[in-house]
Amino acid sequence: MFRPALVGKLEGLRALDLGGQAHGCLSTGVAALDEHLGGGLPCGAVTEIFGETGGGAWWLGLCVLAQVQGKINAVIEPAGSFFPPGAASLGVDLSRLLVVRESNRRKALWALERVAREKQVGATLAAMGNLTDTEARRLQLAAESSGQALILLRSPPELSRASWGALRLRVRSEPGPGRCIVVEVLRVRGARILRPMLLELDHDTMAVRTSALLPHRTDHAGRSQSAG
Amino acid sequence: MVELRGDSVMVVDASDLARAAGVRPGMTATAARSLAPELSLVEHKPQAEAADFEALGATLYRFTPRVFFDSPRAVLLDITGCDRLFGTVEGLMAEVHSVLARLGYAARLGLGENATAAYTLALGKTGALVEAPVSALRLEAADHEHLEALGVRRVGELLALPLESLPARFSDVLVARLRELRGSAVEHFTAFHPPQVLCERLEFEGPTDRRDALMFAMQRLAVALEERLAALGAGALALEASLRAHEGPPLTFSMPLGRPTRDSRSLAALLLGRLESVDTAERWFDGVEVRVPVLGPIRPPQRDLFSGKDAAKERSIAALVDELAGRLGADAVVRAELTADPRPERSFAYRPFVAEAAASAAPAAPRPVAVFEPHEVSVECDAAGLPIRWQHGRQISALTSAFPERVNFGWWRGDDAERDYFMVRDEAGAQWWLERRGERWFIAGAF
Repeated sequence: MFRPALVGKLEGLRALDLGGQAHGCLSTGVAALDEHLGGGLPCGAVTEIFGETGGGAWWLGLCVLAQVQGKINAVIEPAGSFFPPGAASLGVDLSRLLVVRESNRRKALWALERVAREKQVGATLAAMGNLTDTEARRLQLAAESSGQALILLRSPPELSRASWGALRLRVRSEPGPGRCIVVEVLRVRGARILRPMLLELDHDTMAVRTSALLPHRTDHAGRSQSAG
Repeated sequence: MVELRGDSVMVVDASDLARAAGVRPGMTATAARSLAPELSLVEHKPQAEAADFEALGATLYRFTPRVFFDSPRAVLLDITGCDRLFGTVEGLMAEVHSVLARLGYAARLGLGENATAAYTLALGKTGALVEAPVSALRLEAADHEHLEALGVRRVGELLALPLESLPARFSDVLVARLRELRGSAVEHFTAFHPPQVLCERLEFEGPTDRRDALMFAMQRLAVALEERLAALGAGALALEASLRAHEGPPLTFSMPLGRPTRDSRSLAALLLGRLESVDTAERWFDGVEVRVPVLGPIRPPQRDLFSGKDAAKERSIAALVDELAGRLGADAVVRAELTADPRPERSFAYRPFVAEAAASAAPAAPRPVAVFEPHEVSVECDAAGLPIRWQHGRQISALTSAFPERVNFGWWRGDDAERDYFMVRDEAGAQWWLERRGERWFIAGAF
């Protein structure tokens, strides 16, 4: 039995956690996923997307960038595999997309932090590996100060690292009749536990055709709760 | 202020405090020290002084286009008609004072009906001309002695003497000075013309290897540049910095700016950002110089009802781009533009980022979000020529239902003039971009 005062305090803490969403949310462009995540990706916070190459992490990140209105976006990717026509085909306006091409990690990290502090940038997508705790914390503070959605693409082995991300997603491909992408929610504000979501895409246009919630277990046999 | 003449160090000039203690120009430093043991001696550097003076003239050019020098003692500004721009004469004086203070100069200002009167007031340290000491008139030593003997100490007393009796007793300089003071003659000074290329430099007291000293110098120079750019009503479109090494060639770097910039904080941020990527290890520097080789007009901020906010946004984005480009290089801060070239690697081009570019269109065919350096894979095909299996016998299925996307751009462009692109999905559900050149297959990208 909790005493009322303690319950009140817990409620307050919970509200504080949710209250971090003062900057609102940025839509992912996928209505079902927005609803599932409680509005989309949090602004003024860090979202981490874990995934292998070709698994759909880039796809999701670029879909979010395509939703930004009235501000510019930024892509910072030291590896140099970002392909602008692919972003354009997902609806990203290339004329409003600032691309930072810097292979030196230290410089790229500096650029990322500088861009993350800029209020006129709506969302930043960065594929920056092996972030230390301090680096991640600095990025989180930068995003808080500017109110932009900072999306970090990370590889699955980095899942065990400490994180300051308000939202952690794991994105992977699944065999299926069409292009199937599973979005697992590893952490979300308000300490909610959300079920993974399966998205089926049109392989030509990459538009979401259907979405479904999967059970918590990894065997996805029962894909019955299909929602349009 | 001392200078080495022959074997001895001589006093060239002295502050009021030092003069009060009996120090006079022409003494040896040892003699001066014996009069005032706590005296601090500064080396006289005529060249650096002249350069500073030049820069000061350029800065003050913002108040009036008629700037004159009496180097190295005074700058004279003819503010006839210019005071209206600053409200009142006092407003203009206050602004001059604050500019000089920002640049770190201690100055005495004098305001008068003519140049000689203003000069005398500034040197005389009094509000009224008649109260000023005769020494403020810049007379010859003989005249001074004569006046001293006559008991004439104030300008007022000198003006009270009958003018016609003066030429016989005093030098021409004194007579001319009094005529100029009364306005019946004009004293001539060297007119100053601002240099076309802005250049600000700062010399260190001695060679230094400290980064914080370099950073401090950059910040000071940015403040000085802002004042000089303001005088010209322009902004910097490029910056060139030169760190003058104690030994060896100077360390230089330059950076183009996206828009005319004048704000000292922006300029300092750009210079400091770039300085951080410059390796200054094990080198000693004597001074720092920053030049502005290209100037651009600064448009006054839009006071439009509707576009005001957008202009502020644009400036903010331009500042971000400048800062990034200053440190990473202009090639690293770009936007992509789609081209008409069918080859995927040339289907887009990077251009400098500008805040307001025309919106881009989406490509017609589906495109991957990531591409790699194409690496070759072994692929098995079915009877229709569609890939069904790749590396280690893993199954893939072609998603391009009927035909692959054929890219054909003319035999004259090289051997691989014809390529086919297949969208395939592997067993795990990941989607890839497969490229065929003749009989060879490559993975080109991922969706």
